[in-house]
Amino acid sequence: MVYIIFICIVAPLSLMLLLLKNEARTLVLFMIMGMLICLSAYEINSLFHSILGMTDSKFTVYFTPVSEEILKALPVLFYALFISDKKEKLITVALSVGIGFAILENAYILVTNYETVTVLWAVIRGFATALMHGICTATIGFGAMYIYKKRKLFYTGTFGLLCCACTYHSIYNMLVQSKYDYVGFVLPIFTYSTCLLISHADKVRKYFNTKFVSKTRVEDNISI
Amino acid sequence: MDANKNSLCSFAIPSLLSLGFIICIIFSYMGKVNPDVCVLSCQIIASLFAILYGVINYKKMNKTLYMQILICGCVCYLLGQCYWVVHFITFGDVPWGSSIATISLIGFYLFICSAEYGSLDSIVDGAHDKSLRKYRTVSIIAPIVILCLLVTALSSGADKLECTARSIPIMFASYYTFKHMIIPDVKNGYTVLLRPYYKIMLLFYVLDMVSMIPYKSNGLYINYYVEALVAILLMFMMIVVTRGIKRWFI
Repeated sequence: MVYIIFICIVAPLSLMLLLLKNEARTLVLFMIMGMLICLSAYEINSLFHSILGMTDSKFTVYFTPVSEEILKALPVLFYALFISDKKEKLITVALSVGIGFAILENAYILVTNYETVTVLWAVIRGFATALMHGICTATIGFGAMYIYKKRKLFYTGTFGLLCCACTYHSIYNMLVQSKYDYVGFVLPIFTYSTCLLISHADKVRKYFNTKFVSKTRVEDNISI
Repeated sequence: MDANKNSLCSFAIPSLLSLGFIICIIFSYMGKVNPDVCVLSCQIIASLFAILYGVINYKKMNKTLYMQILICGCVCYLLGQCYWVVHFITFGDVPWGSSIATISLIGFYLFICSAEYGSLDSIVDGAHDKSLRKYRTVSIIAPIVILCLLVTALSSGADKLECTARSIPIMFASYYTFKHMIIPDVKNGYTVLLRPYYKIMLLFYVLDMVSMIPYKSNGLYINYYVEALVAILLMFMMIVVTRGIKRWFI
């Protein structure tokens, strides 16, 4: 079933590749690669699930985060090693891989649970899973950008970031399976918003400073 | 006068928090507080303080990569504790042995290794000067101590996979921490200003290894409380390293 879903999504996207150019083509290509990684993760997880004999809930908490994050890191490392190690390009490529992974995962879950899913489920799951996978893969992208600049930092830092991503993914899986699933779904949205705010903190501060300064200048002019 | 006032303010909050944690540990040992709740609370509050303190002072330190890596390490440590909290809430227990939280602890030590080996070592010992060979040799003492503690933990019945997996990055980090503590960094002076931080980190490594040695008393595992003490050290570690890095730019 998952192969049918994969072909249905990837075939039209592959045709898109012929129409796109430059960066847009790269992003769609890595999104397709993310879906391919999801397919590989499905097979590897199924194999190890039968070997380890864990319950479904424990398997998704203890094993799945590690296997999926390692697999998602591979295209990002490939891009950093052979194409470009620039921060902006790496992060967008990493996000594409994560989002591609989430697309196939959500499609598979939708098809296997079509009787119970709702529009609300689709909206929440769509945004939450995409952001979670995107954030985890982008985290590894931060470490991968040092692959040529600082090789020593790359080795230790990337593995450290991989550990962060595995733990975050595991926490997310634990929450969405529990009675606190709403906390799990909000967590990636909250994390993404916080990261966005921190990365644009200077711009936000400048905006408020400019507004405050211009307002006081107008008030001073009026008083004069 | 201002510098003394600033240092007093910096140490006041973690000292008060540490006092609170110690009182909580004593109540937990007496059976009045759940030990899991006590230790997890200590670890989460301590790591949150360390992260916030680091982030607030990050801009004042010209956004150094070294500080960025240490903050990432503390975030990784916090994620591990959050894992335990969520596990406790969802499954109702905090099991012993290897788990995803072990991975986050390994990640924390890998970040420390990044900071020392990846970021600072090439500046301090990048030329591989022959006159510094004796410091490189003496630094092997630190990983040997960690190895002895690992053997003690394994022979006391600790989880083999968890102890071994955690000890390897600790040994690696301890070597570079000890080396940077003793090496004369005459040219740049970076590591000289971080010596108090290195002393705290060496104590941190030893205590973390000790926390893996199972020791039961009064029906409770005492080594579990050592993990709370380790978290307390994390707060002071961040304050001390921030003060050291600020002096890099004076």
